[in-house]
Amino acid sequence: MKSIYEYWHRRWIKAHFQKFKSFNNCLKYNCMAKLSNAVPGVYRFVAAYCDEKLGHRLLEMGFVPGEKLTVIANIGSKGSVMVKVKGSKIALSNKIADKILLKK
Amino acid sequence: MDANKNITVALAGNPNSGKSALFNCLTGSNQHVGNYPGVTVEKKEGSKIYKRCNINFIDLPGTYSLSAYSDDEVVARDFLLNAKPDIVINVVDAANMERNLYLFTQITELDTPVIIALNMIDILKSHGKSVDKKVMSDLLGVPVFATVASKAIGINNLLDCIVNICENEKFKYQARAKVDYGEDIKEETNKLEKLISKSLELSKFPKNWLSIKLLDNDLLALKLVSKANNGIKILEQVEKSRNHIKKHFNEQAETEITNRRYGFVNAVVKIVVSKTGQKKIDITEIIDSFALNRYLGIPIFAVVMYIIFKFTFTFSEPVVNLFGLFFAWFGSIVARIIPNGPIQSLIVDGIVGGVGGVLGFFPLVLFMFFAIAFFEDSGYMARAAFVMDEIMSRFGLHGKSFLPLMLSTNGCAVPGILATRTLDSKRDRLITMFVVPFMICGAKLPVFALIIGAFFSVKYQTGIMFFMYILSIVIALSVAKFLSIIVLKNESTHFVMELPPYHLPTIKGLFLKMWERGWLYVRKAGTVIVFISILVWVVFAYPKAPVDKNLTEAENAAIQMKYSIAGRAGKILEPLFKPIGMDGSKAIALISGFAAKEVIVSTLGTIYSIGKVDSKDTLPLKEKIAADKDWSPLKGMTFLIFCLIYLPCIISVTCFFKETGSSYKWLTLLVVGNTVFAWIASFIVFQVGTLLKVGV
Repeated sequence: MKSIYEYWHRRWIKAHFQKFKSFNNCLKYNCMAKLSNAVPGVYRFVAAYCDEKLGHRLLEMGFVPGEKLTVIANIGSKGSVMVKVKGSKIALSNKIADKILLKK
Repeated sequence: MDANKNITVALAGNPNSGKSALFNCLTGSNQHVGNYPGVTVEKKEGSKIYKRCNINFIDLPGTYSLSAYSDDEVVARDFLLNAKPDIVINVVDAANMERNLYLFTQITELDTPVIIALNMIDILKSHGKSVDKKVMSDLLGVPVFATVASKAIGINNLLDCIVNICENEKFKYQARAKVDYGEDIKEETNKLEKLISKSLELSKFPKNWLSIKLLDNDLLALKLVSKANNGIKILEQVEKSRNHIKKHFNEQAETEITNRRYGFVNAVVKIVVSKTGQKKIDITEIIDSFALNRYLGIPIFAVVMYIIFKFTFTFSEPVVNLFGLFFAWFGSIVARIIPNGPIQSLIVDGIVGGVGGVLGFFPLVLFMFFAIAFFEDSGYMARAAFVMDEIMSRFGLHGKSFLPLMLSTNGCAVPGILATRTLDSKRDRLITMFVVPFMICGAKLPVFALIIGAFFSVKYQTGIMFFMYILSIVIALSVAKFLSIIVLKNESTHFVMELPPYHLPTIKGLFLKMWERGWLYVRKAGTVIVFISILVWVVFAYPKAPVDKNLTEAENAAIQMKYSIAGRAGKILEPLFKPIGMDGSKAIALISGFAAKEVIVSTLGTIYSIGKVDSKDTLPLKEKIAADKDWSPLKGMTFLIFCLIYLPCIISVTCFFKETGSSYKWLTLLVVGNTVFAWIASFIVFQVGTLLKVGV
């Protein structure tokens, strides 16, 4: 079950995100983009596609849908990011940033 | 008023809210550290006598909320619910109130009286903002105090308030503001509350809190309820309510609840905080632009690690030497007082040697903890972990795992294992602790130098040593990967971490942190190490060989070595060591390496002193080994590989055992697993080498 889900999930992501060459194009045509691709700027948090435990943790740290989210820096080759949510800096590894969707 | 009233006060707050600093301020040095049963979370307690009241402070682990997703949160919440402290002090970072008050919205749903300590108020002022404490206290219905823990400002007000609340019953019932969850959620909670109040078991928990937690899909609350007599009914109602909320808000119930809570907090912050001046330049931003730079991040990290390493091992050297001299001197004093014989040997070699072994590491451990505490408290450690996370996560390790590995390379595995305390999740700690002993520590170095020096020409020596370092790193990382895939696969790590602003740590806080961690090492590992070192002494000293007066002391020692239990064990185990090209004497040397790796060299020295009539034989051990027909470059290499992987020294094993929470499963895996792994690896190297006739 899980592998089937993952397969479709990957296809979905490919269809929606990887056809765009740049993050800005992705935002423009798709209204959403992954945090791991983000360039510094102010966005709004949409959702995190991850297990319940991490989802809850993110929720408590202030990742509420619609919340303002400032990307300070996108560090490293794989997209670990540093964001500012509710007045404090939070570092996210690329694995998590990959699962977080943003909108303008 | 009775003379010695006991008051229990719990300190709750977010990580990095200055909670520990406040705790240090409140209790002074009168505190002790333990562990909560079953988990590796540290339990800090301290007491203070103030106005004839005996106040016990308990420093709960720093959490963002009271849900049940990490050990820290479970511990904090169990304490608040079950131990029922008299007062909870909620430590709030004034500069970061929005996030910090979120925890308050959860604490306020419990029945305990709450005091808010607005910590680090000076930082807020430097941001050009101010807080109206009076309005805030009116709004929330709890007393609010401004404190600066690092400068001990506002502590007495806090203590006064604690005593006041406990003496006047009327202060205990605070009319506190509660989060308004809206009509729909309120309706559902009312339904749940009615069901909950019917159950006897659940009556000791606050109804309101429990019903919200149930809607919040909280695992522990659900478990609690399922044990109650009408549990199934409640669970059905929870399911119904959650579905109703989801339909109504078009969102999960927990998202809506969190939203409401943050909404409440937002409103409070908007009313209370006012802007008074301009924001000064933020040092954190400036440092971060270098420390977290894409290109500069890792070099800066390497420099900081080098500083910690240098500080731990170079600066502590004089103190360590002093300790060693002291114990040698103490041993000689004891030897002079107690007559020659087995008792003298037991005390000098067994007990003094063992205690010396433990305390010899003590200054080293203290220096390391001081250096780590400095970078932890200043806020760099979180960034360092972030910088390294991308590389380390490929091997199933955490960004913070780098420091223990680094301390172990050329240093010592014991501080390495103890340094894993900085890791938060148990899974990361286990894996890191497991791979730390694979690195080439300072004690393995002489063994490697001896064998490599004996068999390889000077031209290749550096290259081979370098190869061994690379090999140790490859082995450690692949074992880490193996463990994370096979043994601990069902747990995954996430790197979500708040980066606190930089600030200068206080000297007092650093010393307290260093001392409590160092003392824990002596208390936990010390007793076991002394016991086992006596055991090791017995194994090497008994049964006594007949002393031949004609031979020199060194030769007698060598005969004794073969005669002792360890020597006999080596003889018995010889068939096991044969396939990896080792005879009895090498087996004895390797067994003695369990006491400490550098002992291997001295054991080899003792063995090779046998049979030489001339006691002034000055031929160095290196050349003796090189001249021996039993050795060959291949055998030397096999010996080194076995030495690299097999079970770590006794002190590391004991620390590992204690730090895993006395888990026999992991102990067995470390001791047996590593030895078997070492045997297989050296077997392959030796047999392939023999087949290809390389260095035979």
